[in-house]
Amino acid sequence: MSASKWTFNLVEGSGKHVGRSAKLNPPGFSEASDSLRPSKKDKNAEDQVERETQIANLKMKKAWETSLAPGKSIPMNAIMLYMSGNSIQIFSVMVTVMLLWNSVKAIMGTNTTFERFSTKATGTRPTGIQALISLATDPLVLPKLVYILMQCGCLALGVWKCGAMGLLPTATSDWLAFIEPKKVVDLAFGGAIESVF
Amino acid sequence: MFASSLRAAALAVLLAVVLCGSVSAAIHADQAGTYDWHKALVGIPKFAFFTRPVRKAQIYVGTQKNVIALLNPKTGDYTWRQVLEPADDLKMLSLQDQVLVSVSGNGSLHTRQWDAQTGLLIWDHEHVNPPASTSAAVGRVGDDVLLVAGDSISRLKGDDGTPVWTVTADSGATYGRIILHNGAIYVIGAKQISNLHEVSVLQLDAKDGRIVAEYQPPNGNVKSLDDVVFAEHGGKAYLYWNGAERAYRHALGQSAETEEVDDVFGIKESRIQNVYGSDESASDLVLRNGKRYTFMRSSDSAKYTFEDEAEPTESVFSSFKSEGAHYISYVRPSPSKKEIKIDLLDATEMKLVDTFSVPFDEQISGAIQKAFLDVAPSKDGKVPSFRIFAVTADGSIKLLKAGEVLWTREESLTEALAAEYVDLPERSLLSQDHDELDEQPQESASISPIERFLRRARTHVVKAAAYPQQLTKSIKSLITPPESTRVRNDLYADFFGVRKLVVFASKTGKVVALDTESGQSVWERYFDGIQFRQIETVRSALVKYPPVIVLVGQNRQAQTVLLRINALTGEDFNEDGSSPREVFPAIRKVIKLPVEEAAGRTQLISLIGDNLKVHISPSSAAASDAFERFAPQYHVYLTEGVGSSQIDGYTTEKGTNNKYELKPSWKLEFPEGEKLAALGSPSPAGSAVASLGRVLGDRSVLYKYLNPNMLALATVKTTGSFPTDSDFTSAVYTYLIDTVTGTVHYRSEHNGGGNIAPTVPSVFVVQKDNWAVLSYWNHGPEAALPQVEPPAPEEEVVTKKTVRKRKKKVSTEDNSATIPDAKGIEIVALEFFESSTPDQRVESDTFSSFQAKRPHVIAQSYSFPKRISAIGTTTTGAGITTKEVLLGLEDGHLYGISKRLLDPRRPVGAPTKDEKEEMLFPYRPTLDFNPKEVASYNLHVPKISHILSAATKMESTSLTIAWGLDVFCGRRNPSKTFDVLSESFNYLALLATIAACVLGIGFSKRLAERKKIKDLWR
Repeated sequence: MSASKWTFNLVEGSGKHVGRSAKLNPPGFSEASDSLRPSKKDKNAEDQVERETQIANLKMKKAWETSLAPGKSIPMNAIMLYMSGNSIQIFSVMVTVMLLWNSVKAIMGTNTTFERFSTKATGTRPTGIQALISLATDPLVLPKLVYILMQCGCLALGVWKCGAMGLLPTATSDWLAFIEPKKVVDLAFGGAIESVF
Repeated sequence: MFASSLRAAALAVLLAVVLCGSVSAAIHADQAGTYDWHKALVGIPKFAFFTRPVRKAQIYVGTQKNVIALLNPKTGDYTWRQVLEPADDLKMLSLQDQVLVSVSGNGSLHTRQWDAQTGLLIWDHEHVNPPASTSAAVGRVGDDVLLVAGDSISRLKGDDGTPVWTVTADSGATYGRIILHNGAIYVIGAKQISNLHEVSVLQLDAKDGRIVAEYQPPNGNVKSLDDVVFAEHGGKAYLYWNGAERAYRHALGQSAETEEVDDVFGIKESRIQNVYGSDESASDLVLRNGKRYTFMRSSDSAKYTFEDEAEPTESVFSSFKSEGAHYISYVRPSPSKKEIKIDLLDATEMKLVDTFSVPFDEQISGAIQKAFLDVAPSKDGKVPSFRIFAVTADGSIKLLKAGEVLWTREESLTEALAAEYVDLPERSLLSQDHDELDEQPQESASISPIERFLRRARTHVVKAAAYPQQLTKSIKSLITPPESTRVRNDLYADFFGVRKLVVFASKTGKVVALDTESGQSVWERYFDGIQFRQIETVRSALVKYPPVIVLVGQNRQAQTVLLRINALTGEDFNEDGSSPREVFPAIRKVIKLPVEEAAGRTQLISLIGDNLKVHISPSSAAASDAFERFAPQYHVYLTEGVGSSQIDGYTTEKGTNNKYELKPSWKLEFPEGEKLAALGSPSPAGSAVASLGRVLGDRSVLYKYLNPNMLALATVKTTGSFPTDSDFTSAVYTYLIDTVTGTVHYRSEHNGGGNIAPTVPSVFVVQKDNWAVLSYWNHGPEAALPQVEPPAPEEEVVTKKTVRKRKKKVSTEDNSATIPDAKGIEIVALEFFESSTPDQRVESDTFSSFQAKRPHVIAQSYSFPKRISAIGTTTTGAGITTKEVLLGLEDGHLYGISKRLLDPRRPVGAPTKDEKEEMLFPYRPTLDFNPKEVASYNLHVPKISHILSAATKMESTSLTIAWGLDVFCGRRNPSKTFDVLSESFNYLALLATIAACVLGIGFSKRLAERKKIKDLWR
């Protein structure tokens, strides 16, 4: 590195008239170091590909992070559900319902959540069969699936909680009301003979 | 699916409410009498005295129901009543010189003196060696009481009832009449010679009871002792009686003398007519010659012959003697039968006061059987006012005066053996469009469409015109509490379905329909000579059709009579062309079948004859078609009733000439010595059961064993006759029998159990859904059978769990050790399940007794501190509400025990978590008497012998009627009134809140719109 890097000419350009549109770099900003980064003005194709790959990798990394995030909250949720107890009270019911609701909402909004990680332009979204075909090539499918899996984990936690509270129709007693009474085939009537009194 | 899930949701909500409701539900003081009524009755008078001790007249009655009462002639209410024990048969009630003495007993003999004004007991004398006799008589010697019963005559001290002397006559006659004349005591009896009775006279010395003379006057053959009339004539005491051909008289104290009454009074073919006096002194003498009646004055033989003639069975004479006044009344029906005529004779002047007529419908009440006269003393020659206390053939009692009936007491209700609820028709169901819906297709086709449209339009116009009025009425009823509308004349169902008719049919031939809201009689019928014992509703109120009931009774020829009655009006029902009255000879059992005949939509009645022939009523072709279809599944079981030792089962088969008859299919003989003591009646198939199983704490299900053919019964085996005997042992056995196959599903022994006494039946069984409740008296370990019987082969396997839960049940170990050493009433609750393991069920759409698995039966017993006289259960529309076992208590209460207390699943010891979850009460060996559960609150409702419940449209509420002596009707809410808003609910506040909300919403909406527009302008 040359010493010029550490040399600032604060005088340079001070005398010149700087236009309003002119870029005014912050003090200490080195043009040279800036030029090392790919800039828009740089129309070099190789650079362009390299840059896009870089961005895509970054997005993928981010997407994976997002998809795994719900999993990290599962232990916390489990503790919360455990703490709220199995009796049917407003708090335990609220916690469970929130958990279930949030999971369902999150699953429904999977595409929205991952949209910002998509490399394709929003406008050129394929529809119909094309969407299915493009799914195979979409690099976000895996993170999305993991994300849904994680949310399903949360959902399962909520369902487990419902079961623990006795809100799931798992027992025979829950289906008792739907059983039709048996039709009696033979009927017997009678009793004491009414003799003369 | 949607409907069923909706039903499930509704059930869940209701169940939650039901289970959360606490067990007790008493009423507030101001609610007493609002939803219930009580008819306090006394019974049909056997003995009556219409007396005028001071200025006020009084009526004393001793009745067939063993009640002694003082009636107030003004109102007809009783001033006091004393109800004797059921086994304490009232044999004699005597009123002499204002001293009221009763003789009663069955096996024992009690003589009691009562304070005539207050009804309080003064003394009670129990005879050491009671004579076996049905007749008794009481006389007075000075202050002492002379008592005659059978062959024993005693003199009891008037102040405390201690015997002065007792003599026993050895003439072989049964004595039942005391006559005191000129200081001599004559005891009149009858000596039975083949089927006739010979009058027998005994003369006694009053001081020491020495028998002075004993003889039988000649020609002294009478039907019974009641036919002997004692009358004075010319200062002498005479006995008069009707012999086979002639009437005779005999002067007391002269053994050989018997005169023919014809000769004495010079009236040809004269007969002695009974005259009802106001006390037991010498009677007046009325002679009958054909249909003419002549009164003979005892003092001077002056006679008066009544002008009107009447049949001897229809004319009733009564006399009144007081303070020199002497009157005779002659009561007979007028030829029109719509009124009765009363001749009042002033016997002191031998002059007819007048002939009065009283409106009196003999069709409704039957002929007057007994009449007692009271005449108010008249001043300065005015026509004296009289009243007649009459007992009519139907069992009602009336007070008649000139021109009107002052009051009537429907005492025939005390003899009612059967009652049945009749639902009133819906008002809307009778409207035009429902009529149209019910039209036959060809009928509809015959009317032109335009005409039908006009007809429909007309109905709607009429409805629309009535709508504003209806609306204002309903709004008004919301704001102001509804005024008392209990007495209504229109026969339509009310909104809550608590207004019904209840039809009582009694042994006397009387049928009365009462309004369950007010207790007032809606219609009455009287059928002479028919003893009713059963009522069946064959058609409930349907579209356009009135409800029809069938009354089952027995006529004098011991034939079974079926009467079809329109239940709303009481009129004979013959709209469908069938005869309203059918007579069948030699019928053993009358059974209503769950089958309708197509034409009249009435249910069939099958009658089982002595020869096991099956008769069907109505006898139409449609009915026999319907029966033909039903016959293959029709089984019958018959038993001789209480005291019998076997039950027989039959199937129906087509015999010769296409007539159906019963073929024996099974027979169950109880083991040696066991006699049937009580029979349950299973809930009919298809009765409302909310849930098919019981949900346990861990949410598993014990499936109910719902078999409409599962009969619970109890037998008693005793040795020795009376509980005080040293060799007395007793045991009660519970049986659960499938009545189609005769399979004994369950049998258990309650060693030491039995009846309180041979004459006091105390074993009762009630059945509902999948449970039964049995009650009996526990005589304690000393009455236990010494040997333990080996368990019957059908015995269900006693698991460890059930042994733990059953306090007293058959086990192979020493039985006497498990019998509680406490004499008292015990109640056993039994419940039947499909399997002992939860969640196990015989999966099938149909239930056949031939394929059924043996049910799992659990039982638990409790002791109860009160004696029980009747048992029943509540009934609700959907069967969701907890059931309640209703008990008639000897104390005179109607008492309800929640089924949750009579639950054999109640855990012994500390309940586990699951048992707590199931909301089971921990087991306690005693069921406490909780005054809050007395349905009849502070009313005294003695001798309840029948309890009948009906469902209302409110699921929480069950209508209950208990009768026996009194009739009590009330509502029971075993799970509280969860579907009714409380009376104090503030409708006004609710309406005001709703109005305020609506206003607020409207106001804020406008504000919001204005703000929006302003924002847009910005």
